[in-house]
Amino acid sequence: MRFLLRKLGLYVFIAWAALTLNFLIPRLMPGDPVSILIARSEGQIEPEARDAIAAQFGITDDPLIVQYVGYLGDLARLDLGVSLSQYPVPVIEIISQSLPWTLALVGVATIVSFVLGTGLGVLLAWRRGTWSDHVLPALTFLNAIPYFWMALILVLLLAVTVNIFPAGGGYDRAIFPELSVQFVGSLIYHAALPALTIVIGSFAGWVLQMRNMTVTILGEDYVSMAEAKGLPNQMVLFSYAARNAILPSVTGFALALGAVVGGSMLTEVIFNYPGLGYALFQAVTAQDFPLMQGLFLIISLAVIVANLVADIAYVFLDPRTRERA
Amino acid sequence: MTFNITRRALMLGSVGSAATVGLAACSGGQQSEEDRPLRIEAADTTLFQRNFNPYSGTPLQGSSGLIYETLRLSTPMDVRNPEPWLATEFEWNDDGTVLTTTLRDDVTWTDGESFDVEDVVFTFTMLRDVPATNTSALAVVDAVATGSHAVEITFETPTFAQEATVGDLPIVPEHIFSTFQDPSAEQVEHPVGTGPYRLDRFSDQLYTFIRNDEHWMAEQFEVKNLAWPSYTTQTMATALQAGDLDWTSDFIPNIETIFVEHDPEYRGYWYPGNSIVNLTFNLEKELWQDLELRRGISLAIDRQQLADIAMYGYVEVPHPTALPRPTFEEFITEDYRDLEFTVDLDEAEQVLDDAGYERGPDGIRVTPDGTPLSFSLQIPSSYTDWIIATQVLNQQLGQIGIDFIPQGVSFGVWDETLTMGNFDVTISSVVAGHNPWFMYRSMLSSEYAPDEEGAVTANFQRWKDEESDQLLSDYATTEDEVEQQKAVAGLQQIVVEQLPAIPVITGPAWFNYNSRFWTGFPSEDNPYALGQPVITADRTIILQRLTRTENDGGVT
Repeated sequence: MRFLLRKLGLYVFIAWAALTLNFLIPRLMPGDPVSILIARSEGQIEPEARDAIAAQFGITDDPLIVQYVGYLGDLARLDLGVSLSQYPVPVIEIISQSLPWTLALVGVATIVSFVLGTGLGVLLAWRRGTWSDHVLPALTFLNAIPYFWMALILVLLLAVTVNIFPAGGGYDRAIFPELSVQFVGSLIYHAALPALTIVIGSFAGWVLQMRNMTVTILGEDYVSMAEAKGLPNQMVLFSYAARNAILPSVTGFALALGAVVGGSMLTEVIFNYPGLGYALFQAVTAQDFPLMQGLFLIISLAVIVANLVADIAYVFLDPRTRERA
Repeated sequence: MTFNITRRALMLGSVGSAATVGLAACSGGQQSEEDRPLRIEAADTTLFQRNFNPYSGTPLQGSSGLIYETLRLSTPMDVRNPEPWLATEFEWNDDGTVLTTTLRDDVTWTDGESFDVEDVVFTFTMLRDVPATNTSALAVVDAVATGSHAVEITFETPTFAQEATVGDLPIVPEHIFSTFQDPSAEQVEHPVGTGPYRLDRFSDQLYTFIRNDEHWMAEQFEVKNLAWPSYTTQTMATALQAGDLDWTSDFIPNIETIFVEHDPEYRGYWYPGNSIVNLTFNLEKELWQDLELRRGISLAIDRQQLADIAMYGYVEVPHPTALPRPTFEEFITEDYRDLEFTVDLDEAEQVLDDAGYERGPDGIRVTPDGTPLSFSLQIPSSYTDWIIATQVLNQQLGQIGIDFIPQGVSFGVWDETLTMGNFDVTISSVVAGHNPWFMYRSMLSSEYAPDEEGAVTANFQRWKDEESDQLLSDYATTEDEVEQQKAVAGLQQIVVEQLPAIPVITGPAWFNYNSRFWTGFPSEDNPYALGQPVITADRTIILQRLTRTENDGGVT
């Protein structure tokens, strides 16, 4: 328990640091959102309108400390401010609109990738020393391919050249959302390719980690003991070896789930998928401070919570940590 | 994908197997052919935010002009003949400070309230009372109703030159907007307008407008449904290629190959000059105040090469007066009509030698006080056309011993150097606006002097010249077209002879159309408006002219 409390204290501090950095970074960036908006409008907005727009955005020249206090106060009220690039829509609204897309796409893909990879890893460990070892170099290669490059190639081949998959969006732009087979079909169809790239890009890592860990553990004395006792192979593999080998993977998985909220920004940008990652990409290009802040906040909090969960899970899964605590 | 959901349309859809999904879209059963929506490019986004308030930062496309109407329709393509719209007449007093507008009397809001003088009075006093709504920066003093259909608007300064701006303001319903605490910060989800279209359906990837059959000009608008799907810059090209959009304003490299060739009979584009990209010197630095230096540089620039390489040959070279052609061709004076920029390296060398910029041992010229003419030239790295342009430019100037080394930076950094004047040389653009006065003002006016922080919002070269200011004021204080033309002629002379900035590229109004279903878009042969679907007045002008293409362009 003391161990957990200590951890909790640490995470509260990390959360505060994240909030503060989140406040500072956008304000230290070059450029100013109003003149960027005017410049980008390419003459649609008169330059004289600068003051009008600054007034609209509520941009102040208050000292940083005053802004900081106001920022913390707003956070306490869950008020993340108003987006500048999509004025006057509240940031929280944009986030709640984008979050489901990311959770569904990246979440499902991450879980599929983990289950698939870990299962395959155990299998390869069990079959070590046979033909199956020839798969390893291929997996290592797959694990080393830069993700964005692979995704771009797949888009080029499957969406642009052959046009089997759509090149972007969350669902067919000709239909309005409704609960129907067609709409759900369209959702799945639009998510298929991005999900596929996430799985291809990440499952090899799980396989290698799981296989190597299982192989290590299969060499342990207590496993030999279990085999000597004449326990069935499956029991040895799953109850003795895999159960312990999966521990590091579980931590990794918890962290991966935390990273889901950040979305695979690359995935979403490449596939123009309407999730948080794309929203962040647009916020950064438009210097939309409030939106950037809100998104970073959600992302950092998700990662911090995931870390905490991973720590707690470990305490339950691994008796050795309990003893140390 | 295709927007039309009839069975026949599906056969025309892209080969994407999801085409069948589209069948579900139609909520009202079969649509008739007349209902085929015109598919227009909206903003670059993946998810729309539902806001149709024309006076808040970023309303969705179509709010201004199609839902909330303006007093007049004025296109830069025909500056002198605005089309009366909500207002039948505009009358100025002698010094251009008071405008009397006469309003139509057969207009109603879509909630049944009738449109009256109160709405116009409210809209203009809102600009005065809520500065955040005044993005067109009109100096409104007051607006009062002087009759059942007349409103008198008073301005602080002569406002002749901004007549088009006044006519371009979306008029909002007083009975609704007066209930908002802050009209500039109100998210309007259910717009009530007087315009030819109403909001029909909204989702975060598509919104549609439907014709307002109560509108006094409804029969002029043959297009019954407008659809605005959400594409991003990246997915736009694919959608264009597949024929999923009818009306867009995008820069597409190799438009012929990517777009036109797939259906050459119906697809086309028209890129009239609508802005000018200038090589911009910081005139607050003594070095750049030397006209001979600027003249020498201008002589060495091969603008045709720039247009061909950086702009894919889409545009003409700029005119020495900086007036974009064809948009403001009519304003170019007799004396300059046939004038063109010439490339003359020998003369450029001569001019620079005579002005005392000797070549140093490395071939780079140096100023008399020993500073080498080698500068970094920052541009936003997201502007691919500018990146290529500056590389070509640097190569051209290298021949006369001057280095402007291109350096890509983030948009924010570039914008800051430009507004704060932390540059020696950069490139920036000036937009045509409603008439030449707007453009020359943003290029030459000392009104745009640096504020207390040293920032300027226009006139980035920081040109300060009494004669220019006088001419701009002459134009703004008269309604007489002859007098206005005189002022414009004087301004042209300043730009041609004194090179406050050096025009290098014509910036086009990007416009691509697919007339397989709807036809009548403007073109080079019929330049009745700018083609971009994002311009309030021009959008309405074009929609009045569109008609159904016979038999879907032969596909039946």
